[in-house]
Amino acid sequence: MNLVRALLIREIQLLRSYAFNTVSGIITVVIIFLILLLGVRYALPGSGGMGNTEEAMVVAFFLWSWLLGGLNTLTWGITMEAQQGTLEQLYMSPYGFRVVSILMLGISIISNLAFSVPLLVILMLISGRFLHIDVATVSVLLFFMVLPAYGLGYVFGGMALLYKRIQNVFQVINMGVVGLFMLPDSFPWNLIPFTSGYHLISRAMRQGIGLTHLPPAELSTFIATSILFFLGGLWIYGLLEKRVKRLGILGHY
Amino acid sequence: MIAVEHLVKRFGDVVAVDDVSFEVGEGEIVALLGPNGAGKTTTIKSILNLMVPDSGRITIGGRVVKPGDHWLYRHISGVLEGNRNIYWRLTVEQNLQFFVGLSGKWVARRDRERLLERFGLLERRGQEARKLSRGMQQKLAVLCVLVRGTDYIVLDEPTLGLDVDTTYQLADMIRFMKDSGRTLLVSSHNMKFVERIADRVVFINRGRVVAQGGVDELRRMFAFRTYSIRVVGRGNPGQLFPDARVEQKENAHVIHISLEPEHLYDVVDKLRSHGFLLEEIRRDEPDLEEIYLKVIGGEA
Repeated sequence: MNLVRALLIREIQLLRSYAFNTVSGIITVVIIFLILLLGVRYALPGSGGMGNTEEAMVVAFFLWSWLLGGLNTLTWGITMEAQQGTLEQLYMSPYGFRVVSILMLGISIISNLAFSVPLLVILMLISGRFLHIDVATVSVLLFFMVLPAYGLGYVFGGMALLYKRIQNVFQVINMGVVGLFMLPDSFPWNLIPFTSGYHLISRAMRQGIGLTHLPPAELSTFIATSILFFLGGLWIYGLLEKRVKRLGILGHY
Repeated sequence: MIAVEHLVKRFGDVVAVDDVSFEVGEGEIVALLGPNGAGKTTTIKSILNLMVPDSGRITIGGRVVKPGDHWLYRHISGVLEGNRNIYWRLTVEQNLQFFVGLSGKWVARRDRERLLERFGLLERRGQEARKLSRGMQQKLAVLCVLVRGTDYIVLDEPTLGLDVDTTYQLADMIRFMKDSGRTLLVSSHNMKFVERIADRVVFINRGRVVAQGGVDELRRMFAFRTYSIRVVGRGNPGQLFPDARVEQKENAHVIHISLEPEHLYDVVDKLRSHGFLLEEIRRDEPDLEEIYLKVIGGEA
């Protein structure tokens, strides 16, 4: 409990310290969204499909920001801790770094929401496309959507410890996530939780379909792959961490 | 007790730590001394299980440490060299709260204030760590380790970049830790600091332990070779002993000379035969810096 309290206090303080960063991040995404929105409106004037496209854009931008938050929490989190010389202190917790980092992820949902929710509201206001927000449905789907991002975050965090400079690969992954949204909602693509999750959330937010009315097979595949991605990421991190400790470069950056 | 037995760590062809063994007894302060690249930090990181050694055994409180173990952090914590070890964007008090919470504990406000006051940080409690001086930041990092409440504390080069005043304050903190029942392993280049705090010293060079013992024991061990001989007489006695250093003090000369005890009589006879009157013979006790130079210099 004291560990959670300590991590929570730290998260809130750091969120306050980096408030300008959060606001400027939202403004950047909004500007990109505005440019694309205007592009769509000029490219498809009077098109019947424009409404759908704009709704899809709102969902995609919202989910993109949500997933980037998830990916960044660990990848940049571990890199930053190593750079500022506090990573080893986190490792010296009697609970172990696994527990500390998983709790950090749980708590980071606060800062992730602080970024993504205002962004969603702004995107809906700008586009005039108001989506269905069934809090229970969206919360569950968002949780399982961010879980594989955390898994990837572990992988890239471990790679950052081992190889140090992975910014270029990470930028490609950041952009590549949007590409995964565009893949069809069928086998084998639906085994990628980012793809199946996007289609499920899209249906929930655009058509107002509740969690209990979503196809059980699709939903369970999404949840299972999401958990697998997370556990897989954690496992790979463990392998990379072992190598890093053998080389004695934990905390070197 | 912290026990390091036959520790070996290689980085490619370089043997960073080569069969290092030593112990830190309960309630002791042991200083790890050696030049840059001697293997001190590698040894410390291995003890803290932040690095996996190639071979050897480390026990903490009688339990063997294995790679990936984290039970040991209920008993041991540390401050590492070259790291900030604290969050610059958190205030002094928030840092303290965070690090004690990281160990699953909590310190009541009154106790926190007492600790901050004890170490001169109370007035800065609301200040972000990045705005503190280097010395204050280091004191805070050590305090953040202290509040974790572990029995064993490891400090890697805690005086690096600190002024004399802050170094003494840090020494005071370390004595406070010992008085409150902690066992400490401290690496440092600052001999005056080590002399002030350490019960025992382990000299390490090129990855090997080259000497170890209590500070007084080491002084005695190296003392017998150096003598100060005060004489009165005409002329310069330095001409009789080219290897000696001679000081003129008022109407006397003081000869500082290194020799084996059995040769002392020869020196005295030589001085007397040249008309010098003996006023005093004193065996010099070298300070830690001189011992260090002898031990490490002899190895170089």
